[in-house]
Amino acid sequence: MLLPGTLDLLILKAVSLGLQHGYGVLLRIEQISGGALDIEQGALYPALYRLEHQGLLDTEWGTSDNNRKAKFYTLTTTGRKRLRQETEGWERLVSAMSTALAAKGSAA
Amino acid sequence: MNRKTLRALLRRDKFEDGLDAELRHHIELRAADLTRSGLSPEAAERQARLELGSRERYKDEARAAFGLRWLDDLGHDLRYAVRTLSRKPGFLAAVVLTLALGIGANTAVYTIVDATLLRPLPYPHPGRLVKLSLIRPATPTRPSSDDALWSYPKYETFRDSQNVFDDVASYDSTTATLTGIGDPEVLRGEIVSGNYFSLLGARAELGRTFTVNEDAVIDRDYVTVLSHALWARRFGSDPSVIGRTIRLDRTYTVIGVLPSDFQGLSGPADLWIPAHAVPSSQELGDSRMHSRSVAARLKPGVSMEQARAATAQAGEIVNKTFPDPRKLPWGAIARSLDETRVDPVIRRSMLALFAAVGLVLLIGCVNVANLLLAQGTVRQREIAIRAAIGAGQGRVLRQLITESLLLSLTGGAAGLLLAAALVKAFDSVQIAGATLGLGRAIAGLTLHGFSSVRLDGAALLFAASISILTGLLFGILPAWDTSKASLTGALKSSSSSLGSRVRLSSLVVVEGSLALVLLVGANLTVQSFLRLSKTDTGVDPTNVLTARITLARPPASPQAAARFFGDLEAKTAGLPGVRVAGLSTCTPLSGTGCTSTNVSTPGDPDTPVRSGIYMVSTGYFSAVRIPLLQGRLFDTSDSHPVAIVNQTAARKLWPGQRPLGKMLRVPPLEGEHEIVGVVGDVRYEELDQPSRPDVYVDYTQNSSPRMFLYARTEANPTALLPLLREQLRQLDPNQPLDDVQTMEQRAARAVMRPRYTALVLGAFAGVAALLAGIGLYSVTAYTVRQKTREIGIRVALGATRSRILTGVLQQGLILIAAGTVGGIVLALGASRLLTGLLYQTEPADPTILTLSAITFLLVGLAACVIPARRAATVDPIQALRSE
Repeated sequence: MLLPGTLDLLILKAVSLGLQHGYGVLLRIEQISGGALDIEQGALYPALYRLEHQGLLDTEWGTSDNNRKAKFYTLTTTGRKRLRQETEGWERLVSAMSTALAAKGSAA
Repeated sequence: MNRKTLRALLRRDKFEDGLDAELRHHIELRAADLTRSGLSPEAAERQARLELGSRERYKDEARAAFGLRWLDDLGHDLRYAVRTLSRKPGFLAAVVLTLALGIGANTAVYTIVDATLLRPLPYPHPGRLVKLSLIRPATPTRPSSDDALWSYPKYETFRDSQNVFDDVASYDSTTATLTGIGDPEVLRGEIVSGNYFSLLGARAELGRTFTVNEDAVIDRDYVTVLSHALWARRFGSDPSVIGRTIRLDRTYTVIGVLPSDFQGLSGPADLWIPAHAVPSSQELGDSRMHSRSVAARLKPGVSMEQARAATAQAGEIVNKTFPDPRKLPWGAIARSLDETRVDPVIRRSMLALFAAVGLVLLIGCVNVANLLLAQGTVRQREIAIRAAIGAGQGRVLRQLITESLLLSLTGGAAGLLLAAALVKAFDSVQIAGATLGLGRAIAGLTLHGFSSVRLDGAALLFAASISILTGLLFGILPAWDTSKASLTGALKSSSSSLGSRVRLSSLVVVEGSLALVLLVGANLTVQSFLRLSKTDTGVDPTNVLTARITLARPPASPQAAARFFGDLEAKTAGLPGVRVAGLSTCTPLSGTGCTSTNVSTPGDPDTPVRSGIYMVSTGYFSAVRIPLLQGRLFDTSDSHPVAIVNQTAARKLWPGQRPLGKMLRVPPLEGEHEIVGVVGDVRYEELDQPSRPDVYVDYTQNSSPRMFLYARTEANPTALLPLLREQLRQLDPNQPLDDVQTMEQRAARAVMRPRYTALVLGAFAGVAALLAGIGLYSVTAYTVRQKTREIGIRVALGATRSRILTGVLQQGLILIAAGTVGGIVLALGASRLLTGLLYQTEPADPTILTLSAITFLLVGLAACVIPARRAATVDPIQALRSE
């Protein structure tokens, strides 16, 4: 279960860790989230196309580990900038949420 | 749209291949993982496929992500439209044909309007060019003119008395005979001031153009610049022509060749000669020799208003420097060159033509809209089903408009083919000119425009624009009507709403009115043409060959010229098949080409009469059969100056008296001429202008270096031409024949403009009436079809066949009557466009209006009778069962 909008952020993060093909992105997200975040496979490719079209991801054709032709994704400069902004935004949101949820009823 | 989208758009296959490869790769990897976790390879692959989901969905999503959805929709709409339309070939053919006619004719007319009225003149910064004219006051013999020509001294004085123009140039057209290389040929030339080319911004393609210095001293610099066409035709495009001399009336040195797209301001010319390149004996300095046109270029920052004011001021200086002998005030006026390029008569006939062809297209649109409306009612079930499975009104509307645009663009493409054929037909300047009124004044920039009529980018753009416009025009109303068909209503019953029948009917009324306007216009021009062609020209044009001979070199003496022409006439008369030969200085129906002068009687020298003056031989009168009414023709024994006048001159000069034996002054000829004969009137100018007073003198007494030769033959006069050429070559091998035409060709040329106008308008009106008839037919037939059940009931209840028949006819008649009234009202307004284009015909001629209305009624009735008869034969049992 993912919050809306977080899939794009996770993809950007996964791709930022190194050259990845589509299936690799899926595995990498599972891996870095410690298996806690399960991506629905059907949602992955539309998100990749969308990010590519927005100019955040670059693609190239290469050979994968099993020696097959595969499409690899990398971050563009804009993509890297977007990842930084979104990460900061996410952290602000998380800390704001934590602060809010940690608040105790005021006695005063 | 970014680069990737564009790539996806252009290389759809490659884009989808990539998508497939990526998904396949994913499935392989996932299946491998699943196999490792214990599944059989087959089960693993099935599982992997299931997890990923439908491939097609990804394609859609990917294309949507790249912003290509609209294209898919459009593709879908188009495929659907093609399927729908191809199921109705009859409908498709009717619509495409109608539109092709309308769009094709409009595009063809547009190319002419573009070339003559819209396209900028082919000189740099054409908007800064002005034409300067003298304003000539009215005299007892001549009306005033605000577009009069200049004399050289007046031009010079004007040029030096103003400071609003960068430069002021003069130009004048002339003819010259090229001899010494191959066959002699009469060339068209322009005599120009030295600054002419720099003012127009023209550069030589080879060599150079004139310097101002080469047009400074009379009888010194005999130089010439050739046109590209002459250089290619007579000199084989040889670059060494620069510096060579060519022989015209004397020798000239070629200094340059102009590029092929350059044309002079007075029309296409073969060569250019500086104004000062004339013998000093010839008059450059006579301030009363008005023969030159003048153009100028505005200084930067000077407005047209300032230029007009400065021109008027400089005009006053010119008037003071060269006062009129009768103390009448002359002036000067500046106009934008662009605005002077088309004769007002031509501009009007072009506008009338454009309006007419626009009406045809409009009628075509109404017809197509009608067809679509009727189709729409038929299609309501289909539309309702599409709505039921989820298509919104917008989506259906878009689908229907796509269909209309597909129709109109197909029609437009077919129309372009038609336009290409029409433009090819127009290609001959002769025909294009005649259609639009050039019969009156073929000159200068007008000719320029006509020579460049072509189907170019602008015409393609025009055709595409009107295609889309017509598609929307005829498509929107039916599409709106059809798309909002309510789901329940349409599925419930197939009978049409009253609303759409009213709409259909009103469209037919509009269509009928427009068609009637065209019928009136066509009938008016046809009547005008018929009256014009019945006009007596005063000569018998059958079996007469005519040709112009301009002496290639100035004759040694006037007597030598007369001797040469006398020889030619005598030898021609002796050729086999020739009955009689003659000579004259001007031909009948030659437009503005004949010379005129102020003649007067010795008793009353102060009231001169403007009349034509012709130097002719005795044979001329019998060659073209001008009747001798009183006295005699010329006689070789005449020792004193004699003249013959026409009836009009006799009536004007000596009203109520016998003109024979009277004396007449015919300046610039010396002495007084005794009138020896009176002949019939001849139309020397235009056919629609009454004969003016004319005076004939004997060419042996007053010769001219240019004469027309006439030969009346037993049979086909053109067969004589080779003999005539050979005989002229024997007399003088350097002497070309020019302007060879039969007299019948000259007469036909005089009625060419009204004839083509009548033909073109008639064709337009015929098409319009046909379209209106089809429109009325389809509406009536449609109504009958819709009311079959009602008719069946009425027949079953005892209504007679004739009653059903008259009932349907009555409804048709109401539409026809409404269309007639509308058409007459519109025609009364629109036919004013034809004012000035008609000969002895009033634009609001009641006979013509009635005649047109009756024609329209007959067409309308014919269109209603077929469906009415079908209604009358409806079988009640069949009709009631059919629902």
